[in-house]
Amino acid sequence: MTPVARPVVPAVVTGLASVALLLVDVAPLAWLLMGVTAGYALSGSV
Amino acid sequence: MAGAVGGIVTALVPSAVRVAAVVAVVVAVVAREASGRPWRRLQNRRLVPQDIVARGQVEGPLQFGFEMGTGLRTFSPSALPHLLLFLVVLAGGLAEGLAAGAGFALGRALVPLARGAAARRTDWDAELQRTSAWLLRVSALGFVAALVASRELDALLG
Repeated sequence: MTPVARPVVPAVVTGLASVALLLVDVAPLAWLLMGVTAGYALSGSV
Repeated sequence: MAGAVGGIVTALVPSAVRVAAVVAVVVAVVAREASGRPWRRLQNRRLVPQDIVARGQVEGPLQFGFEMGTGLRTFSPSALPHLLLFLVVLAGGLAEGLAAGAGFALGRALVPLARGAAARRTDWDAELQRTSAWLLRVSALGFVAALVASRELDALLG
């Protein structure tokens, strides 16, 4: 499996986007990213 | 709905109580998620029956997607969705609830998209099994970064 296709990659990208948001003040986007993170954390759900 | 409830809770519950509750719950949940061993979740431990899919080309898949996508009938490996709901009610409002809900839907949609992008889906599933604890850790840290970036804690702390 190529590194970019690994399941953890979307979580890392979302996390990095959240860190980048620390530098700017876009609160609604932060709530959106909290939602994305919580939704993707359910990857292993069946 | 949580966002609307959140607006009412924000108006009724004193700020100090909300701060204490938010800090305590966030620390407790994130610490366990980061350890790779989340708390026992409040969840409906049932699988969506396969026969639902056979109820028509539109109705079946829609019901299956709704029940699993919203977590109505599923096994949840993470408590972050519960934490998100808690934060929307205690620290958010209608706009924050809508943004969080849209993000949650996007995050849920990312799962089949990421899996579908893999050359072999069985490899992706196996990799997910192997790295699920790390996925929880990364997600927990990303969640905290987004929470801090929301400036909601600043607002609560006054």
